[in-house]
Amino acid sequence: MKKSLLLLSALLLLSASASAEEIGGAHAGMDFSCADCHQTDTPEKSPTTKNCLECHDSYEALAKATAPEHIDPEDKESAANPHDSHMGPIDCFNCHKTHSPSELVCAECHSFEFEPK
Amino acid sequence: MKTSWKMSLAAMLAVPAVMAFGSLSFGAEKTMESDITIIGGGTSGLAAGVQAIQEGAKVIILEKQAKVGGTGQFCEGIFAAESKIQKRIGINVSKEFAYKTIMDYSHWKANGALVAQVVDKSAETIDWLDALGVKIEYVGVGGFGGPLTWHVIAPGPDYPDKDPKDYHCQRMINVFNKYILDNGGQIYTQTPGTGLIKEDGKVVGATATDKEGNAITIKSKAVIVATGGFANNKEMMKQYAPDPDIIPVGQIGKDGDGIKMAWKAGAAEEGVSVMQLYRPGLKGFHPADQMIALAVQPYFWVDPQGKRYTDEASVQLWPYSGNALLRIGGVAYSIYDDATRKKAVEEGIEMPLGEWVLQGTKLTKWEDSFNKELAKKKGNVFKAYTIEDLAKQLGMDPAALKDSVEKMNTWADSRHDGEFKKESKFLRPVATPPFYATKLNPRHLGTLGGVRINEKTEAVNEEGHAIPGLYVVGTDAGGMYGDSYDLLLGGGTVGFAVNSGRIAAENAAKFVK
Ligand SMILES: Cc1cc2nc3c(=O)[nH]c(=O)nc-3n(C[C@H](O)[C@H](O)[C@H](O)COP(=O)(O)OP(=O)(O)OC[C@H]3O[C@@H](n4cnc5c(N)ncnc54)[C@H](O)[C@@H]3O)c2cc1C
Ligand code: HEC
Ligand code: HEC
Ligand code: HEC
Ligand code: HEC
Repeated sequence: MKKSLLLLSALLLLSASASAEEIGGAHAGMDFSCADCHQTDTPEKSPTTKNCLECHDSYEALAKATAPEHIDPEDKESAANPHDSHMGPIDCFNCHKTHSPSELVCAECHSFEFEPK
Repeated sequence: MKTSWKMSLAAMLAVPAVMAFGSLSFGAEKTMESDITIIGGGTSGLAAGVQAIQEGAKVIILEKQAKVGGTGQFCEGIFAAESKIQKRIGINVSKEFAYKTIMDYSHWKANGALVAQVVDKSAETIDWLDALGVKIEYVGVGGFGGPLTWHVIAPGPDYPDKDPKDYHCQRMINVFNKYILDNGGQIYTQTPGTGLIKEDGKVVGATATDKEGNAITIKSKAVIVATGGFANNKEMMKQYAPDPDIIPVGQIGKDGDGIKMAWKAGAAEEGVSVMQLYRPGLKGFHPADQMIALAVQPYFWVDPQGKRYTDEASVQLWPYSGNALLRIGGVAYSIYDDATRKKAVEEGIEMPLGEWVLQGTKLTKWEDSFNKELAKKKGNVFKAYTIEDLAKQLGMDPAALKDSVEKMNTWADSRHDGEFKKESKFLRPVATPPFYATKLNPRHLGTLGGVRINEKTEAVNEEGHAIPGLYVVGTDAGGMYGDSYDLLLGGGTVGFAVNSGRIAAENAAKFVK
């Protein structure tokens, strides 16, 4: 009795957490399956940067796409590029989240205008 | 393939995505072997790696991020007592004095045996660094006027032409990284450790996930955990930090991985709630920002009611100003007048911000930084021509703020702080409009506790018994503090990271032989 209750609640927990994994962020409403990013239908941990780069080309290409249009020589921070900085090629999910709001890791130390989707 | 996905969003939406990616092969398990596996390639983990190689061990280092270094990319100097350079200049910081200072500051809540090991090793570690090619530029303080223990690391030969970051702790990280790779050590980046393997009560390896997402098993005779604390783990911060919203500085992916692994393997907790409180400031401003540099000058800080709450000069030892700010709820305002602004911009600042903004720096970038933030109207900075107006903008009772300002001006005039006994040289009037205010929130440079260890840096359980094969170092380990971060002897956290890493490697190397 006790055991089956435990089992039941474990199942409930499982299903609760699975439905909590809604696909938000940049890919909301695109009908992605878990495996598109995680390469498995039953993910346990965050996908790797390599998983993102299956569809998104390379870090270098991203850096080109988000290079600032105008750089003010007086203001070094105007050269800031989220995909090319002194932080190195950090993992995508540090900024672009899927199941929680995205956040710019640079924001602890800088106030840049750009925001990750 | 890549480009076709990128090009046609419409097609993407129409085709069930599973078809394309569900078929990718996945999950091939890899196994590796080493004498010692180090989880975390930051300050303490790399120091352990160098030492372990010098002891003749086969070493594998796992690093979660794409780059090694962790918070070691940001620090500047390392603690030592009785180093050659200290003795040569005539700096009198004996091991006995250092030991007593650390233990007394902790009210002897710290692990006395561990502190002794770290203090005793510290001077030899400066020689060890020197032999590796890490030179000391000068020896400075933790808090202004304090004992000279902070051995600031000099630029290396690659600075600035080949590597503009080859100085301060980053220089040490560069040297460690190269030494390990040149001497047969293996470093795997973007390969987070995920767990420890325990057999018959001993830790005999670790699990990890590689760049491709594959699970890896590493068999080894000892594991050193060095993952740098839990500053980015919201749940742990909620549970352990004095305030979960303290702004972290220099922390990425610090999810408490190593601490959780060690606890799971049976290790006890120690000092989990000690935070490395920093000068107060604002989210979105780096440690060298000049607007913050003026706001944290020790002049006139008030709580949200407009009342002074502290001796502002306690910011010389930032854990003090962090504690005082947390006590009043984590919001204060630093207010200064145009005369103070002018002095800081034209003559330079009185109190240095470590190596970030040196004493005497003319804050020529203050105006840019302040005005940029003012224009954003985020409620972080304010400017007014009267104290009444400033109070209104800050949501304070104008009479209360006026009262505090008048008192401050009296103390400045009489050169005596009738409230908080501040050193008189830091008493300045708030009298010349316009007036400026900057919000101050608590910040921290990382968490400072987690796993209980002994003086060999072995993880120990509740009964104090070592878990064979498991060593925990750097900010994953507790035992150096009482309830607060200790800045009396500058360089203490890096000192602990490097020395605990070396101590772990020496003991682990003996253990695996
Ligand atoms: C701006 C700033 C200035 C500072 N200045 C000083 C100073 O001058 N003197 C001083 O004493 N202290 C200073 N500090 C503090 C000091 O830098 C840190 O206490 C020290 O670097 C911590 O070393 P660590 O090895 O514990 O952590 P880190 O150096 O951060 O290393 C931890 C590493 O583990 C990695 N990691 C995390 N999880 C995993 C996982 N699951 N698997 C694999 N790897 C993982 C991290 O990515 C990181 O690389 C400063 C800190 C900051 C932010
Ligand atoms: C668009 C890519 C994407 C898709 C699709 C996706 N995820 Fe994720 N997932 C992520 C990212 C990015 C993270 C990192 C954390 C975050 O986003 O909040 C993550 C993290 C996770 C985690 C780990 C959370 C943790 O605490 O470490 C789980 C579990 C997870 N996802 C489950 C799922 C499930 C279940 C699905 C399918 C319903 C799914 N994901 C679909 C990108 C994706
Ligand atoms: C299955 C392919 C696929 C995977 C895997 C994938 N994405 Fe995407 N992503 C897309 C598509 C398609 C779009 C929408 C079209 C576009 O902008 O390229 C998109 C859009 C985005 C955008 C918004 C782009 C914009 O123009 O604003 C971001 C940011 C993003 N992805 C990040 C990620 C991250 C981070 C990951 C890994 C967690 C990831 N993606 C994994 C296919 C993918
Ligand atoms: C430091 C935070 C950060 C990281 C890490 C990061 N991004 Fe971004 N990304 C951003 C921001 C911010 C933008 C929006 C830039 C803008 O508005 O100009 C962006 C934009 C994008 C875009 C849209 C580019 C376009 O064409 O306009 C894509 C796609 C993307 N990111 C994917 C990725 C992937 C994939 C990774 C990992 C390889 C990654 N990002 C890592 C912050 C980040
Ligand atoms: C832990 C704090 C911290 C974080 C996080 C951080 N930075 Fe910085 N950044 C600094 C410091 C310190 C400087 C040097 C400022 C100075 O010397 O005036 C700097 C300088 C810069 C500059 C000016 C040019 C230069 O190299 O001096 C740019 C651009 C920049 N950062 C971009 C970024 C981006 C993009 C991110 C996020 C991907 C980021 N930073 C994250 C602390 C940080």
